Amino acid sequence: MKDILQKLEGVPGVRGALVMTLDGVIIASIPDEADHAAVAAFLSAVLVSIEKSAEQLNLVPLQRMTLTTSNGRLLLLPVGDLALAVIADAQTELSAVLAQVTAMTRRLLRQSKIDVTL
Amino acid sequence: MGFLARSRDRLLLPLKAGKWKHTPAPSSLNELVQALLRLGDVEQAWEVVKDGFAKFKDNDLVRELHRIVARAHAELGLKSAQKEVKEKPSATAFLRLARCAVLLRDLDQAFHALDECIRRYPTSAHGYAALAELIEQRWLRDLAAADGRLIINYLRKAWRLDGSDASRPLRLAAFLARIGAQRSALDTIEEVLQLDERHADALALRESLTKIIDAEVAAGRLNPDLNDDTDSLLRQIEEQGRVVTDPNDTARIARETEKLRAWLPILRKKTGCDHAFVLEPKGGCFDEKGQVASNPLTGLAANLARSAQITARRADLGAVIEIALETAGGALLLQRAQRCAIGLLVDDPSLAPACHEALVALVEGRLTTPTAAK
Repeated sequence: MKDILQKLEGVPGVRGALVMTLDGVIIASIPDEADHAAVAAFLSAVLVSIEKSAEQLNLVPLQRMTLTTSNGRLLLLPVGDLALAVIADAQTELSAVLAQVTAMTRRLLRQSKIDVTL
Repeated sequence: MGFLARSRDRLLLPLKAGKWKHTPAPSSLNELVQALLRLGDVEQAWEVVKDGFAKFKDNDLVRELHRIVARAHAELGLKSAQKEVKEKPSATAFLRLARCAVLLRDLDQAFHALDECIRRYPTSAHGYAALAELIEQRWLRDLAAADGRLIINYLRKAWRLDGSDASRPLRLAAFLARIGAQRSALDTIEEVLQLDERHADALALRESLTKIIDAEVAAGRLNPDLNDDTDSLLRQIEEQGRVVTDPNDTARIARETEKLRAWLPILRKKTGCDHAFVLEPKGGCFDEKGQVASNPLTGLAANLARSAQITARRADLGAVIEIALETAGGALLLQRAQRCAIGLLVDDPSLAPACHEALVALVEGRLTTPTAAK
């Protein structure tokens, strides 16, 4: 999992990424020195808090959540039973990064079926 | 036509200048300024219009003329500053470029120029002070803790680099007082007064701060022996979406909501989405008819906005600008507009980009005239 995440390291504009379970447990993250625990916990809280209302509005299944801020962007993509979060710059054109993320998401999905036992 | 018109303007210019000089009136000012603009003499037009604005600032025509010439003058200044930055870069050139960009409301360019200024000239006190001023404007709009920290850091740095200019510590003290760090503000003022014990503005600020601190201590809300935790105060302001000490906040948000609600029918028409609403910082939801009763959509929007704000703070991403929840069944888009947000429920996921564009256009004032809110 870490190897796949490392594909994102060095991609222009990407500051960090993590793969987490839907209840906020981090499985892998980059860069090593970053502490993503709080972000994972809050992303998990976001998913829980919106789940019921989203279902009532037929806003399912979730494909992507993008949070754009003055200093950057946070992307959240569900991958099977896991979620991939990417923190990127606000200014950087994201299409190239998103292509990387999409490709990696597919790989993660395949790998999660093989390696991850929940 | 252009050649003939310019020639005619050149011939009539002394006459128009004389008319403005001897019988100053909005009409004569208009004729002279328009002729100067047609001749491309923006500098002279700017000098004349400044004079005219001082004389007839209540006149609509003069105000409009002043706005047009100010923009043309700023554009000229921007071009000249860009050239200077390229050919003979200096801190002053970057500062001028930033100032012109601010006048033209191109804040991205202004930030870029000032960032570049302090990167190339790390001892430019003016660069740090200007950057702090610009970030403070953004902080007043977004209340992002990260911006607050930058303002404090940059003003301190500007002061360290140029101790002779008391405007920086005074600005710092005013900012600290604004966020509720009165003791830190007072300490800053005391330092200014050590350098100049008769500084009138510092004395006035010290007096008002002392009164506030005494009242807070008497009420048991402040321990005079402890230091202010500015970071915690900034985070609290960001989380609450308001400056605690600001009594006009509720009225301000109500006014903003009222204005935004008027745009909703146009937004609906433009996007074809039935569900468009204004979300207040505390979670209240409004459409053009009034407050919307709690329902799954309002609950989802409020939860999403709140969680996004906390997540952005935890990830140190700054102020939230927009949130997009994209699903196979549709999308929910939230776009921050001043202190509130505008929400749009998009039934068809493929329409999400167009709807997003319409939301951005609304926030940037590019949609057509709104109807009055009922």
